[in-house]
Amino acid sequence: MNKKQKVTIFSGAGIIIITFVVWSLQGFHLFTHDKIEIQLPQSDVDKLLGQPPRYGWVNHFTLGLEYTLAFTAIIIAVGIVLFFIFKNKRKVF
Amino acid sequence: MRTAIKIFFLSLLFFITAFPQGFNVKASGVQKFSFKDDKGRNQATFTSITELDEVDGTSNDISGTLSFDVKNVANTLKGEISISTASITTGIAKRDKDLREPKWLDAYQFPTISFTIKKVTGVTKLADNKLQVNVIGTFFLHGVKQDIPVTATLTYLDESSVTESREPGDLLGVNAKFQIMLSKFGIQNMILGSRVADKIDIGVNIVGTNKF
Repeated sequence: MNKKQKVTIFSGAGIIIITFVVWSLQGFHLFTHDKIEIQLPQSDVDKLLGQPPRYGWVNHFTLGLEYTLAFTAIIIAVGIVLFFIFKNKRKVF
Repeated sequence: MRTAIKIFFLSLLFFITAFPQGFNVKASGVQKFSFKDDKGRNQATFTSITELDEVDGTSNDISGTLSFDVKNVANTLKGEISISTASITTGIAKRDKDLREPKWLDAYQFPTISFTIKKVTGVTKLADNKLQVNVIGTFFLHGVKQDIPVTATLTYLDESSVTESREPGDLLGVNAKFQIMLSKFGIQNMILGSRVADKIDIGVNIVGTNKF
């Protein structure tokens, strides 16, 4: 294994680890969300009427496991290709 | 013995008819409330929980009316509440689009999901302006009608300077929670039971006005 191949493997592994860290920090979601649910402020009249807090949606990208795995697969595929490209070529003469 | 039983049932009938369950508020007579809110403050929620995923959805496009005699809700409550099928949001745009497809809720063919009260099976007074009502109604989803039991809490507020901050007129708050089985409404899907539960918990939290 030459230097370029080692750089390829370590870079790929690093990117994959970072992807999984981001996924875990965003809450281990199975599927990627483009919006998150937030609790809206409640008026006094709504409280008197026995209404529970309402929920609204705001745009917020949350990485899911399916995108994480797909991205990981792409990184592995690119890594394998680069690994073979960077392979030392035997000199015929 | 027979006479005693007759007296018991006649007394029971007397108390039921003489003291009908209703609100003890300023308003009287038959009141009709509309739940159409252009500001989108009324909300229905949907929750599906499976081992794989929890899906929470909301809809704020709610309409419909409820009417009743203020002093005799048990015998006079009627009405229908409906939501726009296409208005359901779950936080994933693609999933919302899928929900509208024929294999799920089919929003194109069935643009509304509704609940129509058929009969009141029980009323419990929680406060002067608050009743818990048990009703059986027809739930319409995906072109299929099914009778389901629903328990709801009704809260009545007479018009005042406080209620005006929301909207004019007397206000009626309705909170209801119930469950439906998607498979009973003709929704058969290979994802059902794994990613999406067959049993869906539904919550309805709405406020209506009698000035509309």
